[in-house]
Amino acid sequence: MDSVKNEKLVYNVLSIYTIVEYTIFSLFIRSILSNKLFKTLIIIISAAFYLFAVLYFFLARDSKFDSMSASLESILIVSYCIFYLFDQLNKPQIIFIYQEPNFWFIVGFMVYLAGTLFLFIQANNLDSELRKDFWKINLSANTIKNILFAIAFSRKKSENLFSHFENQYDDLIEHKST
Amino acid sequence: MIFLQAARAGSEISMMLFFGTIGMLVLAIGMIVFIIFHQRKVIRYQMRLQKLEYEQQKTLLNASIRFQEEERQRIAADLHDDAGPLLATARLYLNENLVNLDKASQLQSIYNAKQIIDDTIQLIRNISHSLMPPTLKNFGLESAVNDLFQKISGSGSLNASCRFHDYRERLQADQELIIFRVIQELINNILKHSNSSFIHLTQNLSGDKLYIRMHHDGKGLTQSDFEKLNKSSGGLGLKNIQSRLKLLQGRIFFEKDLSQTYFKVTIEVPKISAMTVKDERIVTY
Repeated sequence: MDSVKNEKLVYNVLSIYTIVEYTIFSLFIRSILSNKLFKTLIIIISAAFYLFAVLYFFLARDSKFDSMSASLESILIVSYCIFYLFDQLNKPQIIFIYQEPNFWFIVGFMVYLAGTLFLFIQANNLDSELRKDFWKINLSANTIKNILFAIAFSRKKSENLFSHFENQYDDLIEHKST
Repeated sequence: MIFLQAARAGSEISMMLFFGTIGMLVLAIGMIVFIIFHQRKVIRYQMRLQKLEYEQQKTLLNASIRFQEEERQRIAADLHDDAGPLLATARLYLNENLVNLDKASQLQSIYNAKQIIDDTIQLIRNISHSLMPPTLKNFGLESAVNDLFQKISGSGSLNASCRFHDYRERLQADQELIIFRVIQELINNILKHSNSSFIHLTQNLSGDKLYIRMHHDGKGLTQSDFEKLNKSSGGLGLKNIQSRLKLLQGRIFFEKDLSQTYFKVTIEVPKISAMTVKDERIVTY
C-alpha cells in the first residue's frame, strides 16, 4: 500500500516537474529567438503540449513515469533548439556562435534531452532493476547539461567581430581631419 | 558498465535504449558541430569581404583628402601670386597719393589704383567661378557645361563641343554639381595628358538612366588602365571621379572606339529629377 502511494506521489511529482521544466526551457528559448514566426509557433505548440500533458496525467495514473509527456517534451525542446540554431545562422551578426552564452544553454538542452529521449520512452517498460541501472544515463546527461550551463554562465557577451573595422575607419577619419 | 550489463541481459528494450541513446547523441552533437563549422566559414568569408571594402574605402578617402589639399594649394597660389601683388600695387598707388600733393598726379594714382582693383575683382571672380560656377546653380548642368566648353574652345587649345539631346528636366542640384565636377576632372585630364585636338560631349536619356559620353582623340584610357590606376597610389583625379560617382550610384566606362581612332568615356547615372523630389514634398505636405 505504502509503495503504491509512494509510486503515485512520485508520478504526480514527475508529471508536474515535466510541465515546469518544459515551461522554463521553452520560455527561455522563446526569449532568445528573433524570428517572430518561431516565437508564435512555440506558443501554439505549448498550448497543445499542456493540453496533452494534463490529459495524459489523468489517463495514465497507473503508470510509474509520465513517459509520453516527458518524451514529447524532449522532442519539442530539441526542435526549439533547432529553431534557435537555424535563427542564428540567418542572423546578420558577426559573432562566432560558440562565443554567445545562449549557445551553450541550447547545447546543454540538446545533449540532455537527446540523451534521455529513449530512456523516457521506455521508462514504463523497464523493470525496477533495469530502470535503476539505466537511470544513470539521466544522471550523466544531467551532469553534462549542468557543466554546459556553467560554461554558458562563465562566457562574457562578445563584441561584434566587425566593430574593430568600424572603429579603425572612424579613427582614420578623425586622424585625417586634424 | 551499464551497457555491458544490458547486453548481457539480452533485453530487446535494453538494446533499443542503448542504440537509440547513442544515435540521438550522435545526431545532436553532429548537428551542433556542423552549425559551428558552417557559421565559422561564413563569418571568415564576410570578414575577408569587409576587410577588402575597408581597404578600398581607405584608399578612396586618402585620395579624396589629398585632392582636397591640392585644390587648397592651388587656390592659395592663385590668391598669393595673382591677387596679392595686384592689391599690393594698388596700395602703393594710394600711398603715393597721400604723399604727392599735385592734383593731377593724385588723380592719376587713384585712377591706376582703381584699374588694379578692377582687375583684382575680376581675378577673384574668376577664381570663385572656377570653384563654384553660378551658371550651374542658376541655369543647370547643360548651360554650365556649354559655358565650360565655350571657354575651352575660346582658349584655342582644342576644339570642344557639346550637345544635350534630352535634358528637359533638371537633375537634383547635388547630382548636377557632382556630374559637373566629374566632367571638369575628365577635361582636365584630357587637357593635361592626351594631346587631343577635339573633345565632344553628348547627353542622352535611356529609361531611368542619364548617359554622358565624351569622345576625344589623342592618348586615352581603356577600362583596364582605369582599374589599374585606381588600385595604385597614383591616379588621384580618377579616384576622385570614382568616389563622386559612387555617391550617385553611377558608373564610368573607358573604352577605345572600334575604329581605333578615338577614345570614349561613358558616365551612367540613375536619374532622380529635381521635379520628382518637389512632387514628393507636395504629396507629403
